[in-house]
Parts: sequence; C-alpha cells; structure tokens
Amino acid sequence: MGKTSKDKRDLYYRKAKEEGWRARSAFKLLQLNEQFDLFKDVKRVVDLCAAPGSWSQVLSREIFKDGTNEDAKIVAVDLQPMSPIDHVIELQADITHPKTLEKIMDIFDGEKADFVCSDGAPDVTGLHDLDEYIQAQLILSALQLATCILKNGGTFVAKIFRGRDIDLLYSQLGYLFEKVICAKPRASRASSLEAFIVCIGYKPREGWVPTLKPELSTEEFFQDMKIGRASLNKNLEFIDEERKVAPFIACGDLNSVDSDATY
Amino acid sequence: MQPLQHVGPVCALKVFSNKWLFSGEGPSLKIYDYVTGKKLFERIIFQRNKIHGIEYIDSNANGNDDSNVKIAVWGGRSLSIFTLAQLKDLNFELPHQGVGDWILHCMFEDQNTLHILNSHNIVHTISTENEKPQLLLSKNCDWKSILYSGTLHKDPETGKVTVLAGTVMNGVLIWDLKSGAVQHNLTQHEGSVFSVISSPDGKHIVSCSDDRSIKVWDKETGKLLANGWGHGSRIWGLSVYNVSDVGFNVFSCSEDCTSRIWTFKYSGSDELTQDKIILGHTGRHVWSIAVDDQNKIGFTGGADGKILVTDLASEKREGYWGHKWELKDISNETGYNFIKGELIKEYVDFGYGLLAVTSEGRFMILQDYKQWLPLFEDLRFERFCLLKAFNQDPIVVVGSKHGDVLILKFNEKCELVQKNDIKFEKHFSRLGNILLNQHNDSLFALFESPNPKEHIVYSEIDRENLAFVSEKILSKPSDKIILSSVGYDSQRDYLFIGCRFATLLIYSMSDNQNEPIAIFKNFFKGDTISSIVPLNESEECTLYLTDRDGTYHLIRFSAELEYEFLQSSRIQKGFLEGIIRHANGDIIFYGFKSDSFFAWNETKQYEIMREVCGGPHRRWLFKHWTDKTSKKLKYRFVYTRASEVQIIEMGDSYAVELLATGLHGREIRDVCFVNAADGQDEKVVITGAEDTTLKIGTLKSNGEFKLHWTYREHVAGLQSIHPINNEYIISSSAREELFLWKISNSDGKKCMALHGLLPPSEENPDLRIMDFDTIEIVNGKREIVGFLLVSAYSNSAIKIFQYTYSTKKFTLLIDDSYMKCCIFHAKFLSLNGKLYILIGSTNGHITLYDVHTIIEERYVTIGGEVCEKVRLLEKMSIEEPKLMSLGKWTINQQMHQSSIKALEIIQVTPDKITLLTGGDDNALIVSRLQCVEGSELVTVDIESFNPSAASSTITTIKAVDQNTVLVGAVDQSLRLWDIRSDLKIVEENYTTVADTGCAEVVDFGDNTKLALVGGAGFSIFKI
Ligand SMILES: C[S@@+](CC[C@H](N)C(=O)[O-])C[C@H]1O[C@@H](n2cnc3c(N)ncnc32)[C@H](O)[C@@H]1O
Repeated sequence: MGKTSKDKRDLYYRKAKEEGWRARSAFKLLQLNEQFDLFKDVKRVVDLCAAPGSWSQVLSREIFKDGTNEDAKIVAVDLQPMSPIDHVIELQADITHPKTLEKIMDIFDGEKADFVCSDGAPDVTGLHDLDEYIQAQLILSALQLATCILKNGGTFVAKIFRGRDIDLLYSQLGYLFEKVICAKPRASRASSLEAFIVCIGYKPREGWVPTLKPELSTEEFFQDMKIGRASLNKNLEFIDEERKVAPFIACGDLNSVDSDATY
Repeated sequence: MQPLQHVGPVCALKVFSNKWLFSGEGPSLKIYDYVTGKKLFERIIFQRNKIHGIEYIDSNANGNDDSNVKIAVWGGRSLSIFTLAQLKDLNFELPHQGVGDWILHCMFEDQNTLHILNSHNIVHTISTENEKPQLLLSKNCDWKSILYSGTLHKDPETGKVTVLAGTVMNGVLIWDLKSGAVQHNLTQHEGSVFSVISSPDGKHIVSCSDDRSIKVWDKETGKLLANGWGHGSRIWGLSVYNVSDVGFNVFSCSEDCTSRIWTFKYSGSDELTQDKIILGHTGRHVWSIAVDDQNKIGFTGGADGKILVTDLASEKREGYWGHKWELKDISNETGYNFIKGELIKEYVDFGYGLLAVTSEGRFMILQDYKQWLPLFEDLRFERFCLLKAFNQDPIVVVGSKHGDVLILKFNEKCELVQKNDIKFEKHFSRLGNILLNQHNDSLFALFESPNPKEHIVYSEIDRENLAFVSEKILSKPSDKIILSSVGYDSQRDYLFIGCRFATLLIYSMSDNQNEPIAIFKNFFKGDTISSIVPLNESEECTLYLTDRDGTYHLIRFSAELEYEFLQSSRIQKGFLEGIIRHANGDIIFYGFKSDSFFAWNETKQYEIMREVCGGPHRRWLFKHWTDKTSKKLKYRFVYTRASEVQIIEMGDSYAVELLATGLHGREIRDVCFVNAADGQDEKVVITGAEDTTLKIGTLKSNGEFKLHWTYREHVAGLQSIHPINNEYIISSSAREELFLWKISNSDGKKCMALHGLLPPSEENPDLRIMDFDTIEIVNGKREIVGFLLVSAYSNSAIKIFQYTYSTKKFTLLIDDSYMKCCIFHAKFLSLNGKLYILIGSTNGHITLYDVHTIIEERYVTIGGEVCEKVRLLEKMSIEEPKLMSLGKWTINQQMHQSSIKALEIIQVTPDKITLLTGGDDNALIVSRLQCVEGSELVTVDIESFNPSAASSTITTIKAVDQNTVLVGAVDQSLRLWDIRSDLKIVEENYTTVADTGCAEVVDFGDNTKLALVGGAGFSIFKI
C-alpha cells in the first residue's frame, strides 16, 4: 500500500517526471490540444488556478517554441506561489476576487486574450450538492474573467465535475460560445468525475460591456448577462433553468496509458 | 416510479417545541418523537434538492395547538414555507420557491416576515402573509464574497438582527442587517469557515473551520476569547446551550465522525474544555446537529443516515449514580485499618450491592452501592481470592487458593443472611478458577485447578441451604487448557466451556460420561473465548461466542456435533468481553477499546456507553439488566483505576438513544439480493460500500428495509457483490479481495459467514477485482458441488477459477489478460448452449471470448435456455487441471468513446442476447449478440444508440423486463427506457442519492417490482 508504491506504478506520474512536467495534469492539456488544436495561433493566455504550473509549462513550450514570440504573453494565476517558469508572468491571487481581473488586464495592457483556461478545484467537503455548487461557483469566477478578457472567437477551457447540475452549465455556456464540448482526456481517471469543458468561439452577449463591477456578486453578474440563470423575482417563484447536454469527446490515443489500470 | 424509502446523509436537524425532532433526510422531512423514539410523520418536500435547513415560528408558543406553526424548509436553491397543518395535509401541495441562489439560513422575524441569507452574503426579506410570498427588500454589507456558512440571529433584548457569515477563506463577517454595517471581520481562522453561530443571548459568537478549531468570540468587541482543540478533522456544525452566568456549553460535530461536548467559561481559561467525545456514527462525517436546551438532549445526523441522541446531562438524571472511593475512604467507612500495600483485590455485584475483598482477606460490603461496611476477616483468603456472584440471585461464591469455598447469601438490605463454609480439597490441591452459570432456574458453579492433571468440578448449589446438591467431575483434556467462559444449552444438556487459544469444550450433562464429547482447538482465528451465549431456542443448538480479540461468531451444532459458522464478524478495533441479546432483538457487545470500556449496539451500529477507565488491564465488572417497564437496557459499571474504586450507573434517560439507524457511512458501491428461504414477501439484501463494510438486511415489498448485520472482513472499498444462488453470494474489492459468503437465518436475523476466499496473487496486493460472474457446477446426481468463477481485474487480467464447496478451494484454470486497460465488467454468456465470456473495459470496447472448448475439456454444459440456468456437469476422471489461456477474442468492438461503466444483458432466445451498455460518454447503446445461422460465428450489431442518454456518466443499467431497463447516472437521473427498436424514455425520475453508482430491480411477483438505488445514500422506489 502506501503512497510511494502507487506513485511508482502510476505511469503518467513517471512519464511526467521524464518529460519534465511539474504535474501529471500536463497530459490532460496536451491530450485536449491533440483533439481540439487549442494552441493554434494562440499568443496571449490566462492560466487560472495554475499551480504548480504544468499547464503553464505546456503553454510556454508551445507558444515560445522558437525562443521568442513578440507580443505573446502568459499570465498564470493561483492562490499558491509558484516557482518561476520561462515566459510566464505569475500572479498570486484569488480568481474569485474582483480585483484580480484588473491586475490581469493591466498585464495585458488593454489587449485581449486568445485563450483562458482553469484547472481549479476547491477542497471538497464530501457533501456532494454543496461541493458541486462551490465548484460551479469557481468555474463561474473563471468564466467571469474569461468573458471580460477573451477576444471574440477566443477559447475557454475549464475543469468540471460532471454531477447533477452540469447540464445547467452546458446550457449557459451555450449562450457565450459557438461550440461547447465536454472532453475527457485519457490521462484523467475514468473512475473520477473530472472532465473539461472546451468552449470554442467566444461571442460576447450583444450590448453587454465587459466590465467587472465589484459591487456585483458573480451570481448578479451573470444574471445581468442573461444566459438563462435563475434569478430572484418578486414572488420567489422557483425557476427551472434550461438544461442541455454537451457532446462528449474522449481524447488522447486509445492506446495511451490507462490511468485506471495503474493506480 | 414512486419513492418508498430513503436512507442517506442527514443534513438538517431542528428541535421542535422540546418534544419532536424535525430531520431532513435527503428530500424528506421526518418528524420524530424523541421521548418514545417513534417516527410520527414523513413527507417529501423537494423533487431534486436535499433538505439543508429547517426553521419555524410558533406565534402561539404557550398554546397546545401546533397547527398554525409556520415552517421554512430549504436546501440548495429551493425553499418551501408552510404551516404544520399544511404539511400534514397530503392534499395540500407544498409550495416550491427560491431566491435564485443557494440558501444558507432562514429566520422568521415574526409570523409574516422571513429573512433569507444566501451564499453570496445577501439577505432577502420576504413577507409570508399571503399564499404567495412577496420580496420586500434585499440587503448586503457591500461584501458579496462566497460563503460556506452563515446564520441570522435576533437579539432577544434589542430585537436587532445580526448576520454571521463564514467565508470560503478564513473570514467571519458580522454585520447588522438593518444598516448593512460590518461590525467585525474576524480573520483568525485558517481555511474555510463551516459554521458560525451566535449564543442565544447574542453576547458571543462561536465558529468552526477547516483548521479543526472552535473559536469563541466576544460579540461586542470581536475579541477572540477561546479556542477549542480536539477534533481530528474538519468541524461541520455547532450548537450553543446551557447559557448561564458563568459560561455555556458547545456541542460540535465533525468529519472525524464524532460529536463533542465543550464547556466555555466567561472568566479564566482561553481554552474550551472538552468534556466528552461521542462516537456512534460510522464511515465519515457527522453533518448536522441540534440541541433541546430545556431537556438537555443533543442530536446528530451523519453521512451514515443515522440520527443519534446524546444525553447532555446524563449525570443529572434521576437514578444516576457515579462515585469513586480512594482506599482511605473505604478504610474510614469500614473502620478497617488497611496495612501498607493492602489493596482491594476483587469485588462482585450481587444485585443490591458489592462484596469486596482485600489482599489481606478482609471482606466488606458496599451497601446500596453507596456505603462501605465491614463484613468479616478470613485469612484463608488473603492475597489470593476468587469471588463470583450469580446474575439473578444475591448469592456469592468465594474460593481460596487451597480449595476453601464459601457460599454467601444476602438480602436486599445487603445483610449477610446465610453462609456455608465448604472444604473442597478432596478434589483439588489448588483452586485456580470459578465460573458460575445459571440455567433451568438452577445455580451451578464450575471449579478448576491450575494443575492440568486435576479435573473440573461442576456443582449445583441449593438456593435455600447453599449446599452442593450434585457434583459432576469433568475431565480436562490433557493439553494445557485455561478456562475462560461457560454456557449451557438446556435443550440438549450440553455444557460449553470456552478456553484460551479459541478452544471450545463440550460436555454432555445428561449421561455419566466425564470426558468432553467434543474438543475444538483453535476453533477459529482468535485467542480467548470471552463469552458463550446459547440461544436455547429450538432443537438446534446454536450459540454466540465472543473472542477477546474482537471477533464474534454464531455457530450451529448438528446432532452429530458437526458445526457451521452462521455469522462471523468483528468489531472495529478493541477487545470483546461479552454479548447481550437485548429484548428487542438487538445484539449488544461490550469490551474495551484503547483506554475505555464500551457497550456497542452491533445491530444498529451505535455506541451505548463509553467510560474512560484506563484500558482492559484492571479489575472491572459490568452488570446489565433490562428495565421491566421501559424495556431499556440498564447497566452498572464498576472498575478500579489507580487503586480507586469507581462506580457508574446511568439514570432514567429522557429520550431514546437512536432515532434512525441509517446504513453505510460512505458511498454504496454495489447491492444484490437473494430470495429469503422463508416468506414470499421478503428478500435478503446485501450492500457493500466505500466504507469497506458489507451489510445484510431484509426488504419487504412495501419498501421497508431493515438492517440485520454488518461485516468488516474487507479492508478495501467494495467493488462488486453478486449472488450465486439464494444461499451464496460473492463480494469483491480492491486489494484483490474476493470473498464467498453463505447466507443463513438465525436468532431472528439473516446472517452470513465467510465460506471461502480467493487467495490474492501477490503478497502485497494492490489490484482491484472489478467484477466477476459465476456458473454452478453439479455432480452426476445433479447436486451442486461448486461453481466456475470468472474475475476481471484493474490491470486487465481475466481469470477463471473452479470452486468446490466441500474443499473450500479455488483452483485456477485460466489466467490471461485482455490488453492493458482496466476491465469494469465480466459476464458468462450462453449462445446456442456454448459458453462465452463478455467483458467491458475503460477503452470503451466490449470483448467476447469463446471459452466453450476450454470449458468442455472439464465439463459438460447442461440445461438452460438462458445463461443463468446453465450448469456445468463435471466430467468423470479429469486429471489435474492445467493452466490455460483464453486465446484470441472472437469480438473486440468499440462501443463507447471511453469507459463502459454499466452493462446489462437480456437473453432473448437461446441464440440471441440484447446487450445494453452505458458509459462515461453519456451514451446508452442497445446491441444484439447472436449466432449466425449455420456457422460458428457470433456477431454484435448496434440496434439503437443515444449519445446523450444522460448528462454525465451512466453507471448502472438493470433490466426491468424484456423491453424495459432502468438507467442511472451520476447526474442523479433515473430513467426507464423502452429498448424496443428505438430507445425511448418511458419515465423520467430523479434521485437525491448523489454519486449514483449501483441499482437492482427486485421482483416480488404480483407485479410488484422495486428498484434499489445506491450511492451516497440508498433509495427504494416502486416501479
Ligand atoms: C489541480 S491544481 C492545478 C494544476 C495545474 N493546472 C498544473 O497543471 O500544474 C488546482 C489549483 O487551483 C488553485 N485554486 C483553487 N481555488 C482558487 C482560487 N479561488 N483562486 C486561485 N487559485 C485557486 C489551487 O491553489 C490549486 O493550485
């Protein structure tokens, strides 16, 4: 038993060590890219919930593969400090905090991002409905930042846990992106509920101005945006929100290592 | 589908009018009377959400009429407000409302005004005057961060409402509802704040968090006054009670599965003192908490679905008696002048008081358990003295090292009324042990010498003259035998003697034989048999044995003294000293766990008592009886600690000990059922969970489920449980565990015992046995002799074993592997009488192996149009099996994009099978496996396909009939699909069981079918 013997057997873990990734999560992003060609023409990136930084490593190697890239920029945000990565600007901040957007925007000098990703997960309590709610709130915070900083046509990728209300999120993302897909890289264990939403082709809501008003909660922010979220009304009517199932795509080579067989 | 029963996490508790407890169990609101323990009422409030909170306002607090009491119940984004009368009126449709966000707390300002705090730190105030509530206003403190917890509190003096909000990160925000002004931002917690409440008087704030501390703050100044450390994990809930001039108590509950009682004093220490730890929930997490402050009763609700009742003032109840005496107190009271080094050596409880003896042979009485009185001094009993008392008679037997025996009788005033002095040395050079036994209304004493050559003497004692009326010599087997317990089966007149090294001796008392009629050495894996309790219920001789190492067994002996273990299990850590069959059928154990003595209700899985006594190595006695009127178990526990004699006896409790039994403490991973041998209306259900336990119970056709026993044989989380027939089931888990269980029926309960186990392939196994299937093997007379097992592993291995019941051995026949991916399912199939193995894996493929040639080397396939009825007839004169491989698959076809998580087969005709698969990719696929006419070939064709049959992983598919299947997914949808030609949803349901992972459809006949759904909870529906 014990952790060490499991780590030894985890082939993704070993492979990550060999290839110099800080975490095995790197393979998830690589497999997502294999499937969706996410990094094509991408120059400005926001990597939310980035520590210890393997996604930033992947992005840095890709975007700066020729050594330099003129107006390219990678911003990595996490609550935790991260050791430096070439070409990555690190920002220690809470993505749910309204001030964080300003800081990212400052770094981008008013320019928009091509790609926003978030691999964040809150600590779970074990109370499934509460955990799913809190996770959804974290995704909404990432999405909130994304809607303000992403260029038209940009891409948003975020970690999700496919619990009971995931179809609400799919439906709401449908208002903001051309395509919303639920993708499961093979590097992510089949036995976990983890998957990623890949949202391609950002189309801001018509007439909506991309600003974060600190006096609004995330909930109020999205209610203003009108993407079908339940809102407060005079009679306290309970509103059944729209639900939609996003298409599912498994990515990564079928012959790649099975993360379930090796733990 | 109609919901019938639900057991699952209890997320909300509220005491109502100091007599009832409202509980939120999944979507159901239940009402219990905690004085009688009766469940008075239950009703489903929400369709999708679990109940997370309950509040009420009683405007007519002193009246007797509760019907106008207004109740608010919330959970997630849902809110429902109704009166008690409306709740009870099943024709009244309960309203379903919401405020567009997750609700943390509600508080009635008055009969018509409700404040609602949401998880973004906003309070909505609504009017509940009319049928339709009206939003009056929304307030915030300009700080709309996301909260984990929060409560509203109304100051009893000023009427001011304060919002107490606990953030996801460190903070506790205290703000005034009226002005929106932030009074305090308390930041001394580390990590999320999971509960923050006010003391009822509004003077203090109490909070708890991720950092495992409870903090008490001064409401006025915001100053941190005290910390409470002790919980081993995150703390989920708090309740403040017993507020007085000097301080108050806090009741807390946690992830560490305990609740704790704390005392906070206004002046003095900056620490909360931890008064008591309450154990009794199983698995992980105690989620909810409530206190009846008037009667001092605490309630906790766990992830295990259990509602435990804790007496917060047990020492103040009538009849409570707790005291300790130092040696000098006893010396003072008795007038004995104890010499240096003199100790209380032994004591017994004869029902009216204690009889004790010192190391100098001084005897004394603890009259009424209150007052020590001298009795007599007798030097024959100095240094070594045996002291035993009968359970139901105030008669005590005393023995000396040299074989002097005194028999003493007391009256209810604790006066010694009779004494018989018997010289017993004709049998013994020395006396080493006395064990007493009461049966057929007679008193018996068993005397044993430490000399292995000397016999055991079993004598009957006359109640009236205290003389020996009979004497039977029992010869001791020549080996070194140390007796530890006795039991008597009055149906067959067998005397059972339990010994060290798990050795059991049986003597027949109805004949003149002195030798034991049976000796079982190392009867089971264990050390000392600590108690023997025969059932004495029928012709069959059945008895409970407890072993000091923590295991227990229920064993049946045939007339020929062949035995069978009907039930074997062990308690969680600790030593067992005895067993109680309570009048209501519950089985209760007592013994020691680390530094405490405990009594544990094994049937309902909760702790009845715990006394920190310093551990097992001490003089102790535990006397128990059933109260004649209340039928409650009563007990007295006496022990010596640091030469002090301590006594504790519980008084009359105000409430019952338990309101809901619950089930597993963590996610249920599989469920199976078999038919009960007796009774058509009952099925035996076995569940297995992530908490590593298996549980057995019975299910009635009305949905009533009753838990009977719990098993702790597995050390890893369960994967699969399937029946072989109505008598045997198999369970598998990680760490390569696969156990075969035999089900039987005894002592009014369904029980099971381990029949065989598959030895793991490695010394330090870490493979998971994901799934398995069996086919029965018969002999020439068509008697079942064993089965063939196919097992599938997380590393892609597939193995086939033969199991033989008589030898209890698994023989490996085939050892092979599929690819490199984890296999989730394995099944035997029969097509045109030929056997195949079907597997489904993480790579989304289904794979079919033709195994009929391999199998036919050893067996002939007989009977059965469908696979379940196929049996294998063992060929005569088969040689030693040689290890074979599966060979190449016949079909290996990708069906799903990724893992096949659910798989079901329906045999349509002998050569046609409908295969249903569901996966991680949300897809549901119906395909057909069939033989191509006139050829050896089998084909698989997809008949219909729905790529988005659920919004997340489909984890279970079960056939309801030939045309309908039940499909469950992690999105908590539970749908009935018609699988003919095209896939059509027949019925759409939703379960509040999260992490929905397994299901079973149980057919009771008469068109009664029940669906059992397991995950983080267990639900029963009528289909
Ligand atoms: C799974 S790790 C990310 C791994 C990363 N993608 C990589 O490849 O190295 C999740 C991270 O989310 C961060 N996180 C969680 N909540 C956050 C928040 N509110 N703001 C910023 N970071 C957060 C955690 O600190 C943690 O480092």
